[in-house]
Amino acid sequence: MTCEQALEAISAALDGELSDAEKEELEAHLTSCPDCRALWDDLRTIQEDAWESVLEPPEGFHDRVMAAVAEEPAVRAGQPKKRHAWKGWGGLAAVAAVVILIAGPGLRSGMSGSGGNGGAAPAMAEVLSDEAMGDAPEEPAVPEGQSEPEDVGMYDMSMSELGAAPTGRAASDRNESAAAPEEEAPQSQMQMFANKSVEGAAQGYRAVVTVAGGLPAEYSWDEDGQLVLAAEELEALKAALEEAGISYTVQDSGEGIEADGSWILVLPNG
Amino acid sequence: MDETELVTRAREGDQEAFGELVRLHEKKVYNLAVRMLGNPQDGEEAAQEAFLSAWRGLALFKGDSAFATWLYRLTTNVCIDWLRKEKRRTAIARSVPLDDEEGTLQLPDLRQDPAEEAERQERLAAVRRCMDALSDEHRQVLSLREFSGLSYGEIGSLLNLEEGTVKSRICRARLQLRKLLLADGNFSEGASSKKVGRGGAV
Repeated sequence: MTCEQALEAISAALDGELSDAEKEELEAHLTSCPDCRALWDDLRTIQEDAWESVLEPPEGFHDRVMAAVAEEPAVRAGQPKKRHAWKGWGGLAAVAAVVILIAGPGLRSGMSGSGGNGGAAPAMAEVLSDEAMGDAPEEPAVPEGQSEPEDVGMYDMSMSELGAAPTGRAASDRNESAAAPEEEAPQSQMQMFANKSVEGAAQGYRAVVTVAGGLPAEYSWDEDGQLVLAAEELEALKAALEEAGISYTVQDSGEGIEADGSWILVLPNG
Repeated sequence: MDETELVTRAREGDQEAFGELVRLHEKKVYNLAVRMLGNPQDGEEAAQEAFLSAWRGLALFKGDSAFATWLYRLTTNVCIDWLRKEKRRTAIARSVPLDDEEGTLQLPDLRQDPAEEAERQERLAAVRRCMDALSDEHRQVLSLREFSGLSYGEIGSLLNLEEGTVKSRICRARLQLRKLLLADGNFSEGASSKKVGRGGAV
């Protein structure tokens, strides 16, 4: 073992990442190399000091966390939305479907740009998608059953039957346009359209975004004081929030947030 | 009540159970956030944010991983997002180095004599100071390893890095930290090997 190899092995040993055989090899090197032995001792001391250097959380930290929790309407498993929110959902689902499938990718990129900085690929998104690709241990919030092609077919059929070819809308028109297809559509078909979407969405969200304060001007809360968006709108929302200087957190399900047909839930903070 | 039971209850909306979970993990979460962000004020806010996210997102936690792993991952996400926003907001380098005046002091260890204890506290403060002086890259990866106990693979998936890169970056971060400590004057090369109990096996 060279000293260079020993260096990486020392660090890995401190992390408990060496096999028994590798440990023996390192031990043999340390016995014959005083420099590496000294390095080993130093790094071990520093690690122990680092562990010991932990700070106690400030006084009142626990109480402040719990006070914030007490004010928070937590999203409980299996009930992501209240009953009377279904209608609003159907509308949003309709818009998302229209945007994705009828208007095509051109509009989609237009929409993500409407927040002001659609081209930016923030680290968070990379983190989230990476996590989904990696060994993310959480179960997907939206089960496999919510298959894309099936939904695509449904939306396609519905929209062509409806004969509606909605024009592209910017994010600022989102709430108006949410109602538009509903008015134009025959009730039964719209119902099917909405039910299909809602069924999938009811099973969970890909991510929960919590916003401190209000929403940017181009968004508004639904009647329940929350907002459900198609997952691909997350980046536009984040850009708009940052533009408006509104702080927020994104918490993902570990399932990835880019896939079409999935949803994010936006909640006010407190 | 064990942690699984606490998680189950918290998922059902039991705030008391969640409070217990917070108690179990607050020290680690707080320290991870402080280390990742490099100062206690931001760290405290981010740690609170992380717990709040955990409460909001418990419905998304299916228990396939340990609650702690999930929580540290959340904390890391909050911190990474924080750093990203911070970078965008101001191009100013991170300011205020962490020292004992800003954090909550550790209680003195009464088993040791005062002089030794003072020396120990000095050394620990130096470690904090020098960790904060590491580059963001090095500090993040080393903090994640030392304060969350995530594996190389988990850290890699959080930071979008290959496992091998994580491994070598942690190693470089350690060397850099040692260099800073030597320059800081509270640590002398090889001194540790003279201490009792040093020089042991790998």
